[in-house]
Amino acid sequence: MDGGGSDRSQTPSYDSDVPEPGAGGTVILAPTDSYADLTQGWQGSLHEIRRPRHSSGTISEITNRSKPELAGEKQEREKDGELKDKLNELQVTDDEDLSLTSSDETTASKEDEKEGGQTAAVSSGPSASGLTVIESDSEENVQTEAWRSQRKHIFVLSEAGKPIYSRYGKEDKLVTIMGVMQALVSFLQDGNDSLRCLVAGKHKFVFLNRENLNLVAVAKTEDSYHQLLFQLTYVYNQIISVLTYTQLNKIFKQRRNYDLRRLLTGSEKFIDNLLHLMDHEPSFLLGAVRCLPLPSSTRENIAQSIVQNANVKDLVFAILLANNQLITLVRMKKYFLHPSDLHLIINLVNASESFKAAESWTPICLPKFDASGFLHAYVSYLDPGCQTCLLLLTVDRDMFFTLSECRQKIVDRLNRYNCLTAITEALARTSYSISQVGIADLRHFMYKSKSTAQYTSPELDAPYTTKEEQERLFGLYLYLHHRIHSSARPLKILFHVGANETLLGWMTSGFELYTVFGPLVTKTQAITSINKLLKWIKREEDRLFILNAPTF
Amino acid sequence: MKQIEAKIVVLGSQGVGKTSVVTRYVTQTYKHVSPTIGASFFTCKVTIGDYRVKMSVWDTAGQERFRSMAPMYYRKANAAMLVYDISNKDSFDDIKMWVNGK
Ligand SMILES: Nc1nc2c(ncn2[C@@H]2O[C@H](COP(=O)(O)OP(=O)(O)OP(=O)(O)O)[C@@H](O)[C@H]2O)c(=O)[nH]1
Ligand SMILES: [Mg+2]
Repeated sequence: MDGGGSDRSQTPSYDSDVPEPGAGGTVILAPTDSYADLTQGWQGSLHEIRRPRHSSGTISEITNRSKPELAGEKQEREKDGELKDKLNELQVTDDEDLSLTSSDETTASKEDEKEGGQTAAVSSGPSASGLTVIESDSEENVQTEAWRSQRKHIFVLSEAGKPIYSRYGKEDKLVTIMGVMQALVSFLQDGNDSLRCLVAGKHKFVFLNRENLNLVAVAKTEDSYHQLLFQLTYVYNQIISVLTYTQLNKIFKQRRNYDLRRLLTGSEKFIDNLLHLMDHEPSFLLGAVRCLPLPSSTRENIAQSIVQNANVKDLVFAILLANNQLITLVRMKKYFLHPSDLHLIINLVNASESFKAAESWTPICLPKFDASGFLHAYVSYLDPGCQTCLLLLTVDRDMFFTLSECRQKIVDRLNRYNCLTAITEALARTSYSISQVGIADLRHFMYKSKSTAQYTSPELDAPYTTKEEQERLFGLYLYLHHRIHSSARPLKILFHVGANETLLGWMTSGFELYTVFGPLVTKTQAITSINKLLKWIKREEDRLFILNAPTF
Repeated sequence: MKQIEAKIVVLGSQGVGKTSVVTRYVTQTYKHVSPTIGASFFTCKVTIGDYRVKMSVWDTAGQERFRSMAPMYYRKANAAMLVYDISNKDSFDDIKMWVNGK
């Protein structure tokens, strides 16, 4: 039973002149709407990512801006050339490399490979067409019950139909099935059409066609078409993050048939991890990040430690993370970090044990920031327990030692003010439980402040303590989110009475609120409750959100 | 006691054990390590005869996608340690590429 907000007297209201809870005076992350990423995708655009040009990318803008002046034509050209050199040096392939790969297929070995227990090696690589080799192994692999019963499969293939990634099972055993997918996609493309979604029984097949890559989701989960498309977009961005759009494009322009697994070896685990996070963390669904709850004075102090000690030329972002939560973010004036780029950074840290061993220096492309080139990330944990991770992102690849010194000074100041202890304590405490909010019958909620792209949500308490119950709760949120953001009929408010709980979702220009009540709550009670909830969040906003956005 | 600084870069294909060798040396313990992302920087001090040597070690990632970054590290090094896996001939053949710079 849905009440799509028809009854005026029973709809909640929020004074739009008052900033929503969690909205600070200054913006820390680029604000987002749900599916903001997809707005173009919906129109079926194949080229959502603008074609980046070296000379106009954000990275070169920063690089050039911080060079000494004298902006003569000639000098401009030199600067461009210089940047191109930098970029080229980071490009992993050269032509020679590419021409080698036709006979020499690098098999991307996945350590966590357990599917079907197949060990037989593929003796010959997939043939040039990628469609004709049918090995008995591949057939068997697809037919194992374990493989078929996975709830959400994700595949990535090249435009030529070559397997690049499969969430479950070895890609090279899936040549046939990927070939079929490619045949479907290109059949429709030939007719200037595109294949978006197929439904077969409980399964949805969702296709995302991007330049050079086709991505496919096959799922029997609660996820809607748009939600799956959104996840595929993330997977695409993850691949860009490893390679850059420029490099991906260059490779496939040179050799349509290139085996991309060679360059993605070792990066599959980032895609695996991303997919896992997306199935469990609401931040992706919401296009927002969660902040570690901290007293605002502590957070201010931490930000100051960074501002004062990392104020060096060409540093674009300084990010402090703990347990997938944001502690603080300091940015170069004028430049914003997009939440989906931050999600990729969180995923990088979450999926890499190696940063715990020593200070690290790695290239990373942030697709929303600049898909054409790499930023360079200094990554280091600040505490012996390896919980608090500092990332310093710059356009200058020779800055490691400067940043390493900055880190030391930051740590010194953080220790002087006991900030690291405060972080450790905040991590040890559970963030907050729904009982602290003190609203009868309210079981759980997610609140997103749109203008700051941050969200807050209580811990998972009873009845959501088992894995099954947590997945069911996530499914409820997926449903509520899907109904509210339905492209055919977007809703401002949705009251939904389910078998085990009642859901109330509410969108305003400032926030998105998703609430889960016990099954017997009435609409009037629920509305009274969410008004109370908003007051509670407002009271706690200092602790739950980053309200001030420090800059260098 | 004389002080010298030694800059060392560790190169070789992925998974041959570069990080394992370095952490074994630096921490004197063997522990399970994960594939390196980009490059990791280690320091350690040793005394050899009359010299106190401060070693700074760049442990690079062997993954293909990071290969082009290697010059950034060996350009400034005093010594390079090339590592291969004795049970993997390809990783030995790859050494040539590091020696020849291509
Ligand atoms: N059997 C055996 N295994 C080893 C030895 N040294 C390392 N390993 C294992 O080999 C795997 C790879 O070792 P790493 O030290 O990460 O290799 P690496 O060269 O640093 O790899 P990248 O950082 O990806 O380039 C790990 O699982 C190690 O535990 C060894 O001497 N014998
Ligand atoms: Mg290593």
